[in-house]
Amino acid sequence: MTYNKSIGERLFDAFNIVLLVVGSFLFLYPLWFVIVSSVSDAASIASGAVSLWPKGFNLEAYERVFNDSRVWLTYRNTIFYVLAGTLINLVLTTLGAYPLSRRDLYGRNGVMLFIVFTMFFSGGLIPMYLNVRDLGLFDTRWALLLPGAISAYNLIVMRTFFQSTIPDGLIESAKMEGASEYRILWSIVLPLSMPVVAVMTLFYAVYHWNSWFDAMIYLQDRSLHPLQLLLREILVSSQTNDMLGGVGSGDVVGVSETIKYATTVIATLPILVIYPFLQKYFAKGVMLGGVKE
Amino acid sequence: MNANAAKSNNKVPDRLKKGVRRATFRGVIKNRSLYIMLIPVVLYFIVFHYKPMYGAIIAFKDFKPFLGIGDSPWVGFKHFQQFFESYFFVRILRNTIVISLYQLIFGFPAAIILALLLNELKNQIFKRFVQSISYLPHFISLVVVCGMLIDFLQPDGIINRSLLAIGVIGEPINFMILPEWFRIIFVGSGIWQSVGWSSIIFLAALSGINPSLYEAAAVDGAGRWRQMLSITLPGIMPTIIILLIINIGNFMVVGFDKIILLYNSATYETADVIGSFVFRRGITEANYSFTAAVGLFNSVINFTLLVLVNQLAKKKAESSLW
Amino acid sequence: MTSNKLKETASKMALALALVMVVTACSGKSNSPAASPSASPSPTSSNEGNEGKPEAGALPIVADKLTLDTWVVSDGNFRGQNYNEKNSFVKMEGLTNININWIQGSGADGVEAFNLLMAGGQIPDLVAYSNMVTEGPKYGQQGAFVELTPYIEQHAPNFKKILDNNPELRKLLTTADGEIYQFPQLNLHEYNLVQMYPQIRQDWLEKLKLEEPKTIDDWYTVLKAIKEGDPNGNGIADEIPYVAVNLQHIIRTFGPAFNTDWEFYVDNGKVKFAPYEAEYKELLQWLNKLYSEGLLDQNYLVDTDFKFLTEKVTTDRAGAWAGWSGSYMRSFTDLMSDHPTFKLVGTEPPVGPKGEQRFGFHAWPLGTVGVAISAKSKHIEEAVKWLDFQYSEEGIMLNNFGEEGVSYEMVDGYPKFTDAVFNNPEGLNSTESLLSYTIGGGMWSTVADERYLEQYDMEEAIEAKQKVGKYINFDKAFPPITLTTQQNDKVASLLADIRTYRDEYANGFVMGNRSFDEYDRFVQQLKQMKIEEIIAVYQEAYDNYLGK
Repeated sequence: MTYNKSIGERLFDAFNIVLLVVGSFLFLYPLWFVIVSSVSDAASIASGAVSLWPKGFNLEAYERVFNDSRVWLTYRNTIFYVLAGTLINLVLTTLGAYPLSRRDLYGRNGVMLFIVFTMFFSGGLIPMYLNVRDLGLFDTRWALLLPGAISAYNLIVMRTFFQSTIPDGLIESAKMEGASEYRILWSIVLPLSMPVVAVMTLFYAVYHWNSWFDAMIYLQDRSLHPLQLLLREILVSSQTNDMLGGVGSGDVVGVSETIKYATTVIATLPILVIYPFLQKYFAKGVMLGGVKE
Repeated sequence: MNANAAKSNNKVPDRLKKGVRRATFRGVIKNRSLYIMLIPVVLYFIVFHYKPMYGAIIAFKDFKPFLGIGDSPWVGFKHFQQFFESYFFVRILRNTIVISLYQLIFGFPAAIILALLLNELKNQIFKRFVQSISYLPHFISLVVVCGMLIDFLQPDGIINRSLLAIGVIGEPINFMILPEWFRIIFVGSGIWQSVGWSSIIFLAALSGINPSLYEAAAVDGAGRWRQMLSITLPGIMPTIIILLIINIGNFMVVGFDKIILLYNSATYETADVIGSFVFRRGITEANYSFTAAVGLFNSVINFTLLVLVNQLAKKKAESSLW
Repeated sequence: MTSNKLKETASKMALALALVMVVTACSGKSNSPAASPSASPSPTSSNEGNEGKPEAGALPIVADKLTLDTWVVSDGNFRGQNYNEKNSFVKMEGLTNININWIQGSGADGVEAFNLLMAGGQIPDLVAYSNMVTEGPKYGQQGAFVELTPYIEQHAPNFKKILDNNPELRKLLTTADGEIYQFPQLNLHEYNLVQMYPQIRQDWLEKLKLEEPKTIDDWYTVLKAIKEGDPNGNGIADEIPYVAVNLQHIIRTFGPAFNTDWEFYVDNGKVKFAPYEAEYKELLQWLNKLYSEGLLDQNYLVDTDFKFLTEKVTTDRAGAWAGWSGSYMRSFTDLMSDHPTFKLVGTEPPVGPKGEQRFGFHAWPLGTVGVAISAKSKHIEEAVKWLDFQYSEEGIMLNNFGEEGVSYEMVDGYPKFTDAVFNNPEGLNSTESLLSYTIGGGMWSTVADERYLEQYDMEEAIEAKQKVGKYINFDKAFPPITLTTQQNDKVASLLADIRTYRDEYANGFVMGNRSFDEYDRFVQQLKQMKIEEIIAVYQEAYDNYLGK
């Protein structure tokens, strides 16, 4: 792949690189700010002295967060929810997306409409809550795994990918050779679709990692809580006042800003680590696509 | 299973007209394993989405929890009427539409452009680096993001100080209490936070394009601009159209959580949207019926928009949701 | 078919789940659908009545240990994993033989958690909530909470005695339809009624050679001097003379001096809505003067979080504010302990141009915290007795001071906290250790004992509270009474719009975004938004309350 680059193209390349470098700085700085603030002392943050490098370096916030035994418990829970939840998501989404990507499937538009409809109309919070309770999922781990088992949006994205990248002919010929649909899905469609599987994994994993609302409404048993819910509690309850004539917890205030940043870092880093790992599959997917065609 | 299929094979033609129907039926039989795959999916949507949907009727009732949904008294269109008659109805409708429009015009293309720019990078390491960096903001929680925004935009914040230093402004601007700045801040920070993340889908679609197409085009002497127009864009067009349809289908939804973190009564004029209005009204007062009524109103508009756009896309672009 | 089957399986699962829970004696979930509650027993024919039943008020309440499920939000005074870690509740279980299974709702301030709990339509035996004063009657009228009047007569001698001795309290607690739905937290001493009062930097006043401000004009002079006199001595005019986190705090502090208030108040028996009265304009004009001269925090609409206020105080920039004794005065003084001169003083409420002086930022004897009993509970009688125990002499001491000999000692009839609290050997700070021993009288269904806060508060706070408390005028403040369901349906949505409109305009006037030429239009618009109908409803509710 060698090009004879025109001047215009060279200019474009230079412009492109500059633009993306500036963009990267803008994307990076806030997270950098969070990291730097998490290891600075509260007074420096408050006075706005922290901008590029930590001021008054200390790890007190991390100590406080990690000394909390609940952090470890909920961390384990979250990892479970992410792994189990994403697995369920991927299986069900694929089972929905593949048949619906097949143009020869009678009634597929009806099913699509049936699914898309749910993106716009819902019973609302209360009926969903009652539904989960009546199904007996309340206060069980299933309450975080089943109600969001398929995202209609992700299903559509996956279906669109199958539809636009898997040639109909490939499936036809596989069928000629007597392959079952499951076989076609498993050994032809999925290997060709690693990019979208990687994206779905990422989307679902991030969803599970960041979600706290379902846990807040469906789980009372604290030993089942995910990390995010605990973090939210740490963040919010450190701001309580003695509204009601009690003594309140004013003493937490001084450190709460750094704790907030430290918890953000703790809650963000693991999911950042997954991404480059998945990114490899994007490239792989392209390669496979080239070989098979 | 075979016996089952044979049994219904006898029945169906009696009820339906022959000809085409028989062909479709053969299609159904032929693809039966595809239908079996769909069973758990359809079941999921029935149990977790359609079953609770009857709850939307509380929009027409005065929902009292201890009476239950069924026994709460009917009130007809009372909540809708309250919503439409509110002094603020026109304003929140306008603000919702304007902010949505901004997001659609500036936010949606931004992700595509970023994906295309990344795609044009030849240095794979740099490409992967920028790509990884660009989705970082997505992971910072909204509360922290808004906290930083307010911090940066304060009269003595970093942005005002920089602008003063380079002489763009003479006086610090108190961004957060000026109505004319709200939409820019809201939509701008939204793009910043989500552009990288949204571009992932387009990048995945881009990586699905067959490289041999580019090689063939290069052999034919097409430049990169030409290649982008005739190979890259058409290659991701189905994805673009589907996402555009979904986006338009969400037109009336502006996330209230970010609004309420950023607005204050001085900026209500441009900031108060349907979501934040309902939040103040419905959620803090636990007025679920009112919330449900506004939600239903929103859903109907959104769904109508979706059906229209989908119809249009089917005709013009031959790519559609259904 | 399939959906039916699923339902069946699901209910089997629920049943199995419930069984497991019963077996493991985790009765916290006895309200799951499988365990259908029987009709609530009437107070006279108790179904578990046995001959040797102890009299009302006698201990232990039950012969065989009984567990009551109690829902509570873990906020403010919560510490550790569970309320049963508090020494006071452990001791209480020993005395009453009733075990409390605490079900902890999570969530920011508990509002979401509480709303969700109630929206589900199934609640445990007892529900404790920080805003039971309004939510109790509201859900009580819907049938969620048991009507307590007959039970109080029979089974709650301690609580009944308090109500009998305080007829005003009974009036506040009884709803328009003559019912009582909750056991509230009570503030029977003036000391506990003072909430947020004006606090000012004493050391700055001294430095600027100024007296504590008394009148509105004094306040203007002092704030101006802080702005211009550079009392923090860093050479920059970075002082923020008066800091606030919202308009409500500002108005509740300065409003009464102008004979106005935040929203509803009472003038000679007539209910008024402050923004609809002429005095409100004078107040806003005065505030506008402060704001435009930079004496009022320019960012009060944006920095609405308590942490911003803390930040402004701890960076030595804030001059004055309205605040609590504990989380403001005490915690600021602690945070600024390295500062050479930092010292705060609480001031009297300001005197207005017409000599009006009133303290508007106060609680009522009827606190907002309360506990209500589920109408479907199988143990209403025991629950009433257990709650009544909270108001017995012993219960009040336990809730306020913990266990005698452990967290407090009686010294000359005064319950003095021991070193375990204020000099904790394990290195807990006083707040933490206090919360390990007791819940605090201000946070629970009991009577707040002023001697609790007296020992916790700083000297300056004690002085201030005594100064300010004298200016509370219950005849001018609108009491914490609840509207009937019909009244509420009528005004809720109208009032919500008015509040939004008021917020926009009042802030606009103060900040100078709107000119006072528009003021007449503002009042006219309030009228169009039916403020007069709303006032009439509130008047009706108030008259009803007075007539009880």
